[in-house]
Amino acid sequence: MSLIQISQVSKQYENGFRALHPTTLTINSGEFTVILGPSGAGKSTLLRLLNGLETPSSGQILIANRQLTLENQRRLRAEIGMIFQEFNLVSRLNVMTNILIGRLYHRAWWESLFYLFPKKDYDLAHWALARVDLTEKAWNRASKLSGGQQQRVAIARALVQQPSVILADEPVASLDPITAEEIMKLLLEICKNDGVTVLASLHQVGLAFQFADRIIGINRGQVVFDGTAEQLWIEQDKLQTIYRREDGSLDESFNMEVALAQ
Amino acid sequence: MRALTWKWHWPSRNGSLPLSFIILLLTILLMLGSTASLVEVDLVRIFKSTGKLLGFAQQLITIPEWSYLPTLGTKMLETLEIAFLCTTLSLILSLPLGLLAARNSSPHLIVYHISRNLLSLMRALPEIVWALVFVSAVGLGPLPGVMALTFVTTGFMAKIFAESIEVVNSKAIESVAATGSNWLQLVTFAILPEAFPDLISTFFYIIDHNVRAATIIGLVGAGGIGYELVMSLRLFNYSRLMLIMLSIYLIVTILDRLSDQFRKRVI
Repeated sequence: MSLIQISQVSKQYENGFRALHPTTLTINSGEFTVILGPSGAGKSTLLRLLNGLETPSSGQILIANRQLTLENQRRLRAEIGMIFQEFNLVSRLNVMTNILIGRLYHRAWWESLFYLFPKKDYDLAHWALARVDLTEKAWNRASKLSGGQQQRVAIARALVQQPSVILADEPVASLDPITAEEIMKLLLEICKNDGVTVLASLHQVGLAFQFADRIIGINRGQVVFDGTAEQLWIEQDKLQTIYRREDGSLDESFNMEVALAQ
Repeated sequence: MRALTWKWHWPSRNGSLPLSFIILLLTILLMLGSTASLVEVDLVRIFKSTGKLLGFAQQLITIPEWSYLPTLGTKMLETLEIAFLCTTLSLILSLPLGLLAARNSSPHLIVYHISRNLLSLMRALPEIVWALVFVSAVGLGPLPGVMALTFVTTGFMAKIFAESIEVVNSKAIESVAATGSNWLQLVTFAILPEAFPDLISTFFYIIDHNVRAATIIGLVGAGGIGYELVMSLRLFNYSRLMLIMLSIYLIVTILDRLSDQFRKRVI
C-alpha cells in the first residue's frame, strides 16, 4: 500500500541551483527505503520536501492520500517523525523534555507556555526511552550525551509522535561505524516491529545493502536507480551511475564506499 | 619576492595587514584627531587641572559624618528599589518585544521593522532626558525615575534579546518545527531555552547598569541617592559626599560579584 506519493516534484533554490529535477516516486507502507547518493545529490532536499521544510517548485506530494499544503502542513508534520544528521536536539533542555517536544502538536497553547504535559504523554515518553535503551538518561541535559545517544533521543522524539513514517536525513553520517550500525539496526527494528515506514538518506553503500528493502539511487537531482539491494548488487554499473559526476568520472567516495561494502 | 624580510608576519595572503583594516585604523585616528579640538580635549589643560583634582580628592579624606548613615541607607535602598523595579518591568516588556524584533522569531517582516523602530525610539534619548520629561509630567519623586529608566532600559534590553535570539541554532528550531509545533511552541521550546544564557547575562548587565543609572536620574529630583549626591556636592559637604561615593562603589561591586556567581551556576 502506498503511503507517500510524489508526482513530478522538483525543487529549484532561489540562487538558481536545481536540487531536484521533476521526480515521481511512491513509497510503500512498512518498507525500509534508502535514498542513496553522493553528497549534494538532492537526498536531503527530497526528504525535506516531504514534511514541508522546503516547498516544491512544482508537483504535488500526497501523504496517506492527503495533499501536503501550507494549511495542513503542521497536521501532517505531526504524523511524520524526522531525524537529522546532527541530531538537532534542543541542547539546553533535558532528554525527557526533548522527547516530549514530539507531543507538542497535541498540546494547547497554555500547556506549551508552562511546559505542562499530561500523564499519557509521559507514559509514551518513558516507553520511547526504553525502546531506545536510554531510560537512565531521562533527566540529563541533552548536550551532555554522546552523538549516538543524542540520535537515539531524536529517534525517541520521533517515536512519541506515533508516526506513520520516519524520515531520516543522513542519520548516521556524524557517527562512528559501530554506533552507525546500532542506529541503523534500531531504525530497522522500529520499521519491522512497529510497522513504521522508514525513509532514510545515506551515502554509505554498505549500510544501504545491509538494511534497505528498496534502494532509490539519486544523482544530481535525478533518480537513476530504483530497486532492491540485490538488483543493485548484481547490476554494478547501476551503482556507478549513482556516483558518476557530470564529467563522467566517479565521485571520490565511490571506490571507498564499494570497498567497504564488499 | 618580498622587499623586506620581517621576522613576523600577519596571517594574511601576503603577510601584511589587510588593507581594509589599515583604512579602518586610519579613519578612527583621523576622526579622533579632528574631534579632539571640537570637544576641547586639551592635554595641557588636563595636565594643569591635576592640582585641582588632587585638591578635590584631598577634601574627600575627612572624617565621615556617621550620623548621616541611616538617611544614606534609606536613600540607597530607594535607588536600589528603582533599579530592581525598572529591570524587572523591562524584563517583562523586553521578552515579547525582543521576540518581535528578532528576524527569526518575528511573525512578520512588518512587525519586525515596527518593533525595531520602536526600540530605537526608546533608546534615542538618555534616561536623564526622559526623567526630566516625566518629572515635568508627574512631578518630583521616584515615579518619574522609574518610568524613565524602564522606558530606556526596555529599549536596550529588547534589542540585545533580539540579537541573542537571532543567533540561536536554527537547526534546533527547525527540528522542533518538524514535529508540527506552532509559533508559540517554537519560542518556548527552542528559541528561549537556547537563548537563555545570553538572556541571563543581559539581565545582570542591565541591573548593574540600572543601579548607576538610577543614581544619575536622582540628580534631576527623580528620587534616590543621586539627589543626595548632587546636594552634598553643591554644599561642599565632603564628609557626606565621601560616604555616598563609597556606598555606590560598594553596591556596584557587590552586585557584580553576586551576578557573577549566579551566572556561573545557571550557565
